[in-house]
Amino acid sequence: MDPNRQQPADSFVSPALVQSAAGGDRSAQREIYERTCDLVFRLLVRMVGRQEGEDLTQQVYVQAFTKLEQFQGTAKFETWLYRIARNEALQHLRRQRVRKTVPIEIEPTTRSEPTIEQKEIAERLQAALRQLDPELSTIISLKEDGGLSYKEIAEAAGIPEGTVGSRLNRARRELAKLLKAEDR
Amino acid sequence: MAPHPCQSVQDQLSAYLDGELGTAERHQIEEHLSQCPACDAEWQSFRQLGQLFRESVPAETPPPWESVESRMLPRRLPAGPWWWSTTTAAAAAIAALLLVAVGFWASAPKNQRDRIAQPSEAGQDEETSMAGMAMNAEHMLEFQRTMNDYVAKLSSDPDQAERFLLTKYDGQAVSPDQAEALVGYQPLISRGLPGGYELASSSVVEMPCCTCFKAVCRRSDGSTLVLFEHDDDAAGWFGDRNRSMATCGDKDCCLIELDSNIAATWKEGSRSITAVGARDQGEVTMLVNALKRS
Ligand SMILES: [Zn+2]
Repeated sequence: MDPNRQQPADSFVSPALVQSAAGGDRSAQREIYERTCDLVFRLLVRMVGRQEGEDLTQQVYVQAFTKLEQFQGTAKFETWLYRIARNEALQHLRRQRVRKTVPIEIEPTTRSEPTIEQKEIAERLQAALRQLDPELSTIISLKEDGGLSYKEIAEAAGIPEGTVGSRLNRARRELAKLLKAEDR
Repeated sequence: MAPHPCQSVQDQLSAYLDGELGTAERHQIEEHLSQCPACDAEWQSFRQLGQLFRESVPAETPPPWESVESRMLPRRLPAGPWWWSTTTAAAAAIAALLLVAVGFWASAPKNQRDRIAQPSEAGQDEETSMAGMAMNAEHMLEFQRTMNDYVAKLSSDPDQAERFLLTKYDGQAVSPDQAEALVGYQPLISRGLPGGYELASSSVVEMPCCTCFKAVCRRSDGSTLVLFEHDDDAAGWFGDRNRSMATCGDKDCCLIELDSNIAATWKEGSRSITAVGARDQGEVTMLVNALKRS
């Protein structure tokens, strides 16, 4: 992973860029997309799986650019974006649950060629994440994939900052348990 | 349950791991971990999880920008009497949604208007949208994207466009006569198409707005025109493409600019007819006259 992305000290998206994008400037929108889509995509894949993740990523940005004027600039832009992504994913999961109970599937991994071992690890983690409460998989992905601070996670997930630590404890304990159960 | 000191350490394990603690608290925890195998084991398992995340960065790359762009509403600024003049494309997109919402609001049964006026945040209405026309903004966008794709395909590959729409919206190929049982009325074109047009196929399609009767017509030169007969206004079908009102025959028609031709929609009795792929206003006028109920 890009080490810069681990600990984003500052936003990759300047207020000026946001303003241009809000004005409909497609090249500014593209710039924002390219600077932020890796983590949004990864978060969505963690929450809903690869196939749906692609589709939801597109949806998230269509939505974000449509309501960009609502972005207040009080929070970091990325945080605002992750919040849209989280909401989209939760909505998607809710709808899916209404339609049918989805069996946990291990999706085939494609495109580049990670080692077999890496693939296995990724698949196991993915399967375990899908069994976790989606609220918990969001925050653990924001932490582990995104390197967000607790304050940023609180903003993105819409929860009090004081509860982020205890939720991460729960997420990590449950995830460790799920992975251990699979080992057997 | 862990005994007291362990409990407090375990409560802070994530915060410790994630560097969210002050120096004093950090030292306390470090000291405890060096003496307590149980807490240390838990901490190790948390750390290993982090390792697992790093090792399992998905190999897939995000979808390309172009795929996002193609799903956004066209950028063209609105013009004509139905549109507000706005300074930004984003505002135009919102305006388009509002207008569409108003269109549906106006044509929805009264008991559903509140729901449309305030789309629920949870977006749980999807299952009822067929019956209720209660489309929230998200569904509206999706619908507009679909129609956008459909219109784009229609001029290059009409057969593929039809398959696309039928697959997307549960289409059922039926003859105009058979359609009556499904839509509850006898489609106007079941009485025959105007001269120079041939019926290529017809179907009933469960669009998000309503159940439509759709007739694919071929002109004698082989080109395609599609007629929809439906209960609602076609307000939301064409996103924020340029449109204008015109009088065709004795009807007020809304003409929508497509990429290489036009669409038109008008009222016939209590229903609406929408023609997609018309050449010009003259052809629309001819169709209006030919498809009159009486
Ligand atoms: Zn202990």
